[in-house]
Amino acid sequence: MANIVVHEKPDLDRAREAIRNALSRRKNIYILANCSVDYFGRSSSHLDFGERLIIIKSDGAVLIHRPTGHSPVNWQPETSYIGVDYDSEEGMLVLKALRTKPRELVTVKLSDVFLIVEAELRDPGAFYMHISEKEIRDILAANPKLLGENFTTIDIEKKVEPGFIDLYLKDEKGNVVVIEIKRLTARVDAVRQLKKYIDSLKNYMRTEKIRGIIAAPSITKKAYELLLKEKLEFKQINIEALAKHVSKEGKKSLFDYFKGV
Amino acid sequence: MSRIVFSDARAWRYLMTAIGKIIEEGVLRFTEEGVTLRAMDPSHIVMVDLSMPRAVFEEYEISGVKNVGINFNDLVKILRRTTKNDRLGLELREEKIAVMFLGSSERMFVLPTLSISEEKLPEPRIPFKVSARITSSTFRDVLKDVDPVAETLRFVCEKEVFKVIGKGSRGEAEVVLTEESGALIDLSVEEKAEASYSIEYFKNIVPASQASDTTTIKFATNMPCRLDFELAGEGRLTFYIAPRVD
Repeated sequence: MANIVVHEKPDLDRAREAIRNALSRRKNIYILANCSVDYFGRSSSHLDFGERLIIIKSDGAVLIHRPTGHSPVNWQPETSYIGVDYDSEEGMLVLKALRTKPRELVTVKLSDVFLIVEAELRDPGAFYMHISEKEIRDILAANPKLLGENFTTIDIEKKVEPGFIDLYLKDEKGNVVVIEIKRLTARVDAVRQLKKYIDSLKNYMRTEKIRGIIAAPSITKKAYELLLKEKLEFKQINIEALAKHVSKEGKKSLFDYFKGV
Repeated sequence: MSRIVFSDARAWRYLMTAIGKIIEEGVLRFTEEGVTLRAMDPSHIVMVDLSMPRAVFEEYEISGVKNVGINFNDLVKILRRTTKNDRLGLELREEKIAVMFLGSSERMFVLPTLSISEEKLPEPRIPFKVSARITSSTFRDVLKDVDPVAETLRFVCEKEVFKVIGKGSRGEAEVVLTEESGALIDLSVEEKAEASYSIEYFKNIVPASQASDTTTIKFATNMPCRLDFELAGEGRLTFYIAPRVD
C-alpha cells in the first residue's frame, strides 16, 4: 500500500516543515494553495495569485496546475535545488525550484495552504505505447529494413484503382513489393485487399514481378491459408519495438504547409 | 517523333542526380510548353519542382502531352557517362526512352519507361520573409564547412547578416554571410527569421547547384525552405524542404 500522509489546513509554519520533511525524503508532494508563480529563464513570466495544485515529484519535477486545462501553467522538468522558506516580511511561504543548466528559476509564493499530501508511491508498471497504423507505416517507410529485408521505400499511400497501398517498396532484386499493414491480427479481408491491389498493379505494370506482404503482429489461420494460396507473404512486426521509433522531434511533412498558409 | 536536344548534357546529369536522391521513380512530363516534374520524397519532407521551358532546348519536337515514368537511378547511371562537350538528346518511344550523347561521337542508350501515375501536387504557398542569393560555389562551400559537425542546419537572418549554423552531437559550426564580404549577391529580409532543417536533404540536393551559377534560398521562421537553381533561359529547379520543429 502506498504510504500517504495528509495535512489539512496547516498553518504556514507547519506547511513549511511538512514540505521540507517530504522533500528530504524524496516523496511525491501535492499541495493545494493560494499562490503566485514567477518564472525566470529563457523567458520570464508572472502569474498572479490564485488557487492551484502544486505537484513536486520524487525526481524533482515541479508542475503547477490551474483548476482547468490539461497542461500545467508553469513547470520545471528537472530541478537542481528545491527549497521552501518563510518570508516573514510578506508573511508567505516561498518555494523555489532551480534548474542550473539552462538556468531557470520557478518561484512560488504561497499565502494560504489548504492541503498537503505526502505520498510514497510504488509504480512498477510498464508503459505500452499504442501507435496508429499511420505511425507504423511512417516508421516502416523511414526504416524499411525493419521488415527483415533490404527494401527501399518508393512511395507511401500510393493510389491504385481499389484504394491506397500502405507501403510501396522495392526489394534487392528490384521487384515491386506491396505492403499492407495491420495494427492488430491480420484477417482474411486484409489478404483479399492486398490481392486486389496487386491485381490492379498487374493490370498496368508489365513484366515486373510483384510481391505482396501483410505486415502485422499476427495473422489468423484462415488468412494465412488464403495468403499461401495466393502466393503472398506474411511478415510479423513487433509493435512495441516499432513504437520506439516514433519521432520525438515533431517532424512535419511538407503537406502541413500546403493548406491554410 | 518526339525528340528534344539540350546543349549541355552535364547540366542534365547534375539535375537528375539531385532529383534521383530525392525520388527513386518519377514522371517527367513533356508538353508543347516544355518539360516539367513535380514530386515528393517518400517521407514527404522534400518536394522537387523542375521546369524547363521549350525555349531552353536546341530542338524541341513534342506534340500533345507525354508522361514518361523514369527510374532516376538508372537514368543517372547513364548520365554519368557524359563528357564535357556532349549535347543531350532524348527521344520518346513506345514504352521506352532513348538517351543520346551528341559529341565527338554519338552514343545512345535505351531505357524502358515505367508505367507510374503522376503525382498531383500543389505548390506550397509560403510567406517567405528572407530571400538570399548566393553563388552556387558559396552554397557548396557552406555545406562543406558545416558538414563535419552538423546534423541540422539552422538559418538565422537578421538585417544584413545571414548566418548558417550547423549543429550536431559532435559540435557546432557557424558561417556568416554578408553582402559586404561579397558572399551574398543579394539579400532581402522582411523580418528576422530562424529555422532548422536536416542537413542530409541539403547534401542530397547539392549536385543540382553545379548546373546553376546561383542558388537562391528563401525561408521564414519555422517554415519550409525553398531553394532555387536557375538554369539558362528561364529554366528552374526548385526544392522545398520541411523544417525541423523541435
